[in-house]
Amino acid sequence: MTDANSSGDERGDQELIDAWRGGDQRAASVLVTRHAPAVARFVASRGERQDVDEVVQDTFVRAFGAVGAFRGDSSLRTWLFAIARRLMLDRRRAEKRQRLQVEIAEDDAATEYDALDGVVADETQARLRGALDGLSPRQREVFTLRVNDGLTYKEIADLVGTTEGAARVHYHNAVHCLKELLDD
Amino acid sequence: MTECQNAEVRDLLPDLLHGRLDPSERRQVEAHLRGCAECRHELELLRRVHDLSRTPAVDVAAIVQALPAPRRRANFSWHISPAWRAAAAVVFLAVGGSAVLHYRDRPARVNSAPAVLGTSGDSTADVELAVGYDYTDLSDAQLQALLNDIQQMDAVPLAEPDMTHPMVVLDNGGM
Repeated sequence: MTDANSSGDERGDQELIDAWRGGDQRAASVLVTRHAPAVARFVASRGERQDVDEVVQDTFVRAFGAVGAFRGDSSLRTWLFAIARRLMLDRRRAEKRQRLQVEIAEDDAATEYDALDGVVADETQARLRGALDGLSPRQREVFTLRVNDGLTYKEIADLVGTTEGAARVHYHNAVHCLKELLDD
Repeated sequence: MTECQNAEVRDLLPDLLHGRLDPSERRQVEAHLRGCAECRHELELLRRVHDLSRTPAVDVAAIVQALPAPRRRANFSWHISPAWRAAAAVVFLAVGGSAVLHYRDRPARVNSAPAVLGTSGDSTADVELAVGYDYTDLSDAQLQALLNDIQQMDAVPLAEPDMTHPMVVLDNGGM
């Protein structure tokens, strides 16, 4: 990962976790500095608009509260993504229930990549965004994890609950669809 | 639009974007890119999508502040001073020794009121067959009579009665 060592601390994630469990608060700070931007990007790319901060914070609170369950089978970042993903699913289910009770105006409906509103500055970017919205949810998820977050197919498969081969197929199908949508 | 058939290189394009390739892989992919317009086009597409995603600002300090306190690993050890160990050994031996002496000196228990299960009409076998009965004082003749009684008994059912099927008495008209 490109920002794995942006904190300037060369210790590995597991070493930092052990240090934090031993009472080293600075180790927690290093881990958050190292992974929070990627988690925030992941959360934003999945359609969270105003509550990115909250989801990211909840993700770390959950993760550190259950860090004993982290066995290092996956990377810490993938584990954090999995927690964030679960939190977002829970939030969306709660929102859905709320929408059944309170009617919400149609234009409030969020779509993925709405979080990118601020940077969609020209027509090319708008077309790109439209093309991404044209992918199936699974294609978009796999493609985003591969291109924006730099995960391997194995990590993606673990995260979204599929096989490595299926993740690869989804990625290549997404690339193919994007090219077609952008060429139209 | 046409697509390059070199799936291996195309698979590595996102890793090139993220700087995750080792030097030899990087050289291999870059060499391929120089001669492949389709892959250059694909890499440009991936770069545009990547650039489209922004990284929201995160307040690291606030997150760290909200983290739960680490649960320290248990550091408890069974360290007991030698004096306490000696005291515990003395108490153990005293209590254990007393118990052994007490049970060794206790008289044999005789069941004063044995439950009568059955009696025989035979005078020699006028022996109570009882659970827990102390029959060490019986004579040889009495013991033999007891054995004879046991042999004459009907077989004892081995299983509990099945209460789910209550016994039905059939009135067959005196037959």
